[in-house]
Amino acid sequence: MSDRTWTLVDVLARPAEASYRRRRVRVAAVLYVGVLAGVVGALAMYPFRMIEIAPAWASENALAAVTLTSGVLVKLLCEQLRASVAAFVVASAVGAVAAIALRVLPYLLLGLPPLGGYALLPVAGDTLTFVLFGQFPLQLTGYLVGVVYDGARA
Amino acid sequence: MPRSSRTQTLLLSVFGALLLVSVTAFAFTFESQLAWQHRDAIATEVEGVRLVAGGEAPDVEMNVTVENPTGRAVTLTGAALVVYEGAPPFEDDRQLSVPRTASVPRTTVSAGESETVTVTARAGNVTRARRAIARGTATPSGTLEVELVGRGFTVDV
Repeated sequence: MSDRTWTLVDVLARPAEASYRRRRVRVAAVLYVGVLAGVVGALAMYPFRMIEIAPAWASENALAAVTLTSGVLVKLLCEQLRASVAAFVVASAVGAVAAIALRVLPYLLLGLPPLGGYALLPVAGDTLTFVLFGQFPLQLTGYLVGVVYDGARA
Repeated sequence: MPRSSRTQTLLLSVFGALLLVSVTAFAFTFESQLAWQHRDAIATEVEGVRLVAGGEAPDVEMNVTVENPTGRAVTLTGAALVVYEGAPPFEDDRQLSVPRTASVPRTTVSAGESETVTVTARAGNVTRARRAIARGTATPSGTLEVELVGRGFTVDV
């Protein structure tokens, strides 16, 4: 298939192949895989963070495994190395923003007074710290596992 | 050399499964978190303060209606209530019930529901208590201990 005939559906169905194509197709694959991994990481880390109120089946190990596997998939689904690095950067940025948004959401939904945003700052700061020391290292470890797997397979 | 289409489909399915698991875990936890942050909306109303025959001495009993507007069930686990004579501010010499004797049966109030429970405390000065109840000046004050999504807190009465 020529680069010119690649459609969005092709990128969604075959992102690994798209990561070797021309810039436009590659960027679409990077955004697709990166955003997906970021969202999965943020969603899984939310119950991990509040494990005492999470459902019993969602154990810390299970949620950490989900986040780690999403990191592996960044490399496996964005196969070309430079594209996968870009996808991982996108995943980290989207993951951080999504994690903060999810933590702040209850305040907005319940109409709790944010005191001009001041009340939300500690929540956002706390979440960012957790992203840096929890979500990011897990996804990075997964990503490196993917790099090693692909390297060994090459 | 890119992966085969079949492998990519398989990997995307794994991604889909991860998304499903994380969305489900998030939704359950988020609902609990919303309920927890909404806990201040739990309200109580006391009525029917009365004297009843107790074991050694009469007890003061009252009906407490607990309204739970949150999205999760709450469980009443204890009470720290004292009945006073008159209106606040309350002082120790106006106590009609003995402090630390109040008890409430362990009761679960479903999400969005109300439940009326009977709180019992040992009466202190029975004559005074009987007079205050007859005049309608017996006023309970204190807290109910409540558990929501496994976390404990108190609700003012």
